[in-house]
Amino acid sequence: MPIRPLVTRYEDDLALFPTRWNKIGLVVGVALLLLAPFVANRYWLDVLNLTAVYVVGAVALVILTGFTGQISLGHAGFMAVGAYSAAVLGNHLGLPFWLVLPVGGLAAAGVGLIAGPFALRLRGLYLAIITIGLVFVVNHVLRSFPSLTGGVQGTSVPMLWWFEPGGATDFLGGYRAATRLGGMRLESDVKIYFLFAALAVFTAWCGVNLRRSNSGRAMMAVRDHDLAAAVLGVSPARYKIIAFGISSFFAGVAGAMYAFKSAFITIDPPFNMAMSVEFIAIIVIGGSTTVLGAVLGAFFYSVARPLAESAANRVDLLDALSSSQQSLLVLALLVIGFMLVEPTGLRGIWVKVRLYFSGWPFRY
Amino acid sequence: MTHPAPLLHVDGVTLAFAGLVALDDVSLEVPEGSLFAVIGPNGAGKSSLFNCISGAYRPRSGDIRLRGKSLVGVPPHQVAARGVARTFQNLAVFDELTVLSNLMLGRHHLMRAGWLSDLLWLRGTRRQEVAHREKVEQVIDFLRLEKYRRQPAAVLPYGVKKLVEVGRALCMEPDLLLLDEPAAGLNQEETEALAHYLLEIKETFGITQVLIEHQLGLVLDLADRIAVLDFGRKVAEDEPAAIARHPAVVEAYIGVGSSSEIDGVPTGGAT
Repeated sequence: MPIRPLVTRYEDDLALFPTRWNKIGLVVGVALLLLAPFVANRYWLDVLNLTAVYVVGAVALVILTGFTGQISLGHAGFMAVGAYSAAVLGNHLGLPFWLVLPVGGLAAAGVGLIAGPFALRLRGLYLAIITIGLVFVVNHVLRSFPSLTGGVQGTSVPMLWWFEPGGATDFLGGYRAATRLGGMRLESDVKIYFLFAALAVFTAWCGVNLRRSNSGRAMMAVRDHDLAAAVLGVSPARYKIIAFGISSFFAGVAGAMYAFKSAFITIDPPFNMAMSVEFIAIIVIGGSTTVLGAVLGAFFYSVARPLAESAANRVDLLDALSSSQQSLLVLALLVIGFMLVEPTGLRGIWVKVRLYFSGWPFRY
Repeated sequence: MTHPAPLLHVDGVTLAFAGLVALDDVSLEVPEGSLFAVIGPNGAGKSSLFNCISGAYRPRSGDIRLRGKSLVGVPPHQVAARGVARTFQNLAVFDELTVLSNLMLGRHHLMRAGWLSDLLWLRGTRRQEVAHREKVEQVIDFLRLEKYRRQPAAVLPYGVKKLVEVGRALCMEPDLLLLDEPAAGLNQEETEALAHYLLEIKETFGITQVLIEHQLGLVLDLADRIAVLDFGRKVAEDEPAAIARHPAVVEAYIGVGSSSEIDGVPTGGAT
């Protein structure tokens, strides 16, 4: 069986799933995505939903840090803007859930476009420090309007109103109520799962599109050698700003998803610098310059964390730590391990495995 | 050889970095369709001249005009859009990108689809990718890069990287091509091939070239006209045959005390 069909048109060369094996992988992947919520119990469904949030957030960060080379520790700030936009607009203006997702993204993108110009004059660690500041500024602003955001007490997210309009008035009863769809019972978590899965797939698809088109190439050119990019006609300033805008948009969407999932949100935690670092760690684990890396990193981290926590509960010394301390420990060990052993991340391992099998049975 | 209107005018350009004069009142006229070489010892200001033309540096005084329009103060990415392409002395291929992506970046200034269209892979983006791919493939054919198409630039041999950079500049379909030491670090065969490519770029594509090169033999063979820089000053400009005998060239480039007869001087295996 030929490994790759003969490409006779440039259009075919642009296909995302060119080979038979790619197509088989696509079908299997879609089937797994559709079946997962019916196989997983409530706990693991919750993990999967969180994974979708991580995927969207990590792809957003890859566009900014991986493609364009702008190290940002402000990711939690953008996510906070998205989360609170969703909650506040739902609570106070009564916007439907499908509208607050993009609007939350746009609000975060607005903040990103304000922060973006700083990126034009700063690079590397200096930019990272400025973007840390962004998290504190956003959190401060959110705390300053307690009538809207609930201040330090936090605010509820109108999940009931969004997902059960006209249904039971009791929050848990309405939101938790199952929906019947063609003879299948869809629990509320499952409804959220399908929404999140669609958003995660869409975001990853956008990231891949960016990477295989002119804008993404321009971003990577700016990352690798900005003067060389400029003499090719790429305006470094323009593409840094575009990257900030797109990245913060998806970070905002991820924030809104986080709000959906939590149903009640506070400012700090979770939207603090630790969250920004968490996303940096996810893309480092995955392999920081590709969408595949972001997706792999998100899956790996969100699955590794509960496993590690349950393992830690069996060890006396680690059991004394809180669950967030345990996950921080896991994260730190994972990042150090990957930096030492496989700096190209999970994607690097995947590429090596694929290379091995494409040459099999030859070893070199 | 008849060259009509000059494509590039460099008119009394002076560039200084905190007291160090990198270029001192340098004037050049590069005729359309010619291959113009700039030679001189290290630190003579050759690359600084390129940086001024391509917009990376802004000269303290003087003017640089392309087809009569001033390039001074125009940012690099707009200079590119006006038809100036350049390669770098220290390789500037994008290591993480494939050869194909590197070359497609040469088409950047001709691409019109916006970022939203790219993000959603709309029809404009898809058609643009195909249309420009055809042009890029012509350059791949010309430079015989077919087998490297899908490889990331980082894994390529040095000589191929140099070619990729020239190819990327060619993909821009420029009016003026600035080549900063394209033969540096190439072996004899690669240099020979490069010489043929440069001649063909001139004859077939009709692209005007300005060449900075240290291999004097190569320059004397290829160039229509040669300017010599030394300590930021233009000390000579003439046809190759005359340059080879110019006393200022011999002094600045070969060193005082050398024979004024340059033909016998080893030239680094260029020819």
